[in-house]
Amino acid sequence: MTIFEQNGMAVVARIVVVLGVVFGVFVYVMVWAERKISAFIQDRRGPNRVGPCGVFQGVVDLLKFVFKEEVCPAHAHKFLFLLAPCLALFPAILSLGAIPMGVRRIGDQFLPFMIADVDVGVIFVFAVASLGVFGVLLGGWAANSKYPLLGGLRAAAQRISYEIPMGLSIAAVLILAGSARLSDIVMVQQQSYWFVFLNPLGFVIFLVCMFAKTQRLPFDLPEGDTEIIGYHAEYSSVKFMMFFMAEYGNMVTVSCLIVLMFFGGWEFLPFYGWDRVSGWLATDVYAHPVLWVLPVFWFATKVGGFLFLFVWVRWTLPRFRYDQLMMLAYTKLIPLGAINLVASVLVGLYVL
Amino acid sequence: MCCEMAGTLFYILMVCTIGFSLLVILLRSPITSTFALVASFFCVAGLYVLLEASFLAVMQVLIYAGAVLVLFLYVLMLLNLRHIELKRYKHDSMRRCMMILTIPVVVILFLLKVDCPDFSQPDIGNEFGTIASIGGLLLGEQAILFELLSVVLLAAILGVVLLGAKQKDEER
Repeated sequence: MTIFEQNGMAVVARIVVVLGVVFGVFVYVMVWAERKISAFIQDRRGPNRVGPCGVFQGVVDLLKFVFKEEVCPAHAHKFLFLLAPCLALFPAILSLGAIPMGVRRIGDQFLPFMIADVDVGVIFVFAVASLGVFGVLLGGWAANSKYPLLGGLRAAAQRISYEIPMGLSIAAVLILAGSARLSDIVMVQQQSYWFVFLNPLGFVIFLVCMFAKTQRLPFDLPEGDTEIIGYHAEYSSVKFMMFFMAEYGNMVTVSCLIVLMFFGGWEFLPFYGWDRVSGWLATDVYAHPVLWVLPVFWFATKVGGFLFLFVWVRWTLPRFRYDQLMMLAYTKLIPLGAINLVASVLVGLYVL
Repeated sequence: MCCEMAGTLFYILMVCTIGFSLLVILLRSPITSTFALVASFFCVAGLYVLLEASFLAVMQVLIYAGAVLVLFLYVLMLLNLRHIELKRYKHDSMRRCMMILTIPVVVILFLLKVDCPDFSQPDIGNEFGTIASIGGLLLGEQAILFELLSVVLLAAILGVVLLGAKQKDEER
């Protein structure tokens, strides 16, 4: 379907549904789950006052952020100071446009649930994620303050350095899949093996780059939680919340990507996809009026597993020092990525 | 979505591209100019999408906006330009004239009804800018040039590393 044959209202409906599900459900649950799981790992309780088990803590936090005082430093560039959080949030939202959440079979065709089935799917998400660097860079500079500027430069350098091994591991997956369309990548994994078995080194590289690009621990130094000041020091209330939302949105996007590219997306088990389940249940799961949510829920479960991994690793591993971080990217991950690329070509030729 | 929507999008993207490109040269601070350039590249990517050259659009954003301009900004932020140096452009009459003249230019462009191209049948064919066609060109017909380009990039990297290393020796 070219862009000229789309129905405008259908596109708007898809945007509302996908963004509503991701930002309303995933990000909200993520905020709550992060605090609860961190508390569990640290042997304390977490939010338990606002609602049962503290589930309405997110709402209350949102109200707190909205009612806080908006501070703008005296000599900061006003327009750029307002623009920086928007530039951070914009790629986080835009990259969700090309991520499929499930599939439905109508007649002979598989129609994936996504906003835009572009034929450069993975590369689109990667390109838009690379725009996120502007948000942090500008955030550091626009505050007109020395230490946030240095923090912003550190953050930008970290993000662009880890884009390279990420691109190399994505290229390996593209070679194995033969297409950049994310729904095609899942289809290829349905027909053959999940790419985590065919390309385990690529999976590990992508996992490490995933943590580095979203600036989660152990790659937390630019954000500077407890030891060093970061790029969002001068931002308060809604602008800070937008940086926060952008970080969680990026986490969700990148978790979806890793599930789609390496773990078979919405497929049930490595050698037992939904078509075999359909045979066992004697009905077509993809075309069933009620059971079509099964692949979607399974995909959401896998993505939730990776989000749990994000929180788990946060309190397990110590933070990298900045030079260790850069050395890891340039001296270790890039050569490994190149070796992985060659290996995937061989695997693609002889196994697939 | 028929040609009207594509036509409206084309007009919007055209005006925005020209507008942001003019802002690049007319804004005072180099950092805001760079962000206007980011916006301009984004609009050009939008024009590529209208031509259904999806790979070109994505590469435009990834390479130009995502990599080249980030490094531009990096250098600009490290240069630490003082407001005193930028202030001399404050009462620049030439710049003021140009800023005032852009509005009639854009309005005239609009009124002349620059022909909306027929997007359903582009002259360039269906395979323009898709992954398959560009990949086929780069690794098929123009493979030797592709390899030579990578050698040129390698030479650039080596040159930068050598320059960086030399300066450290001179400082000692």
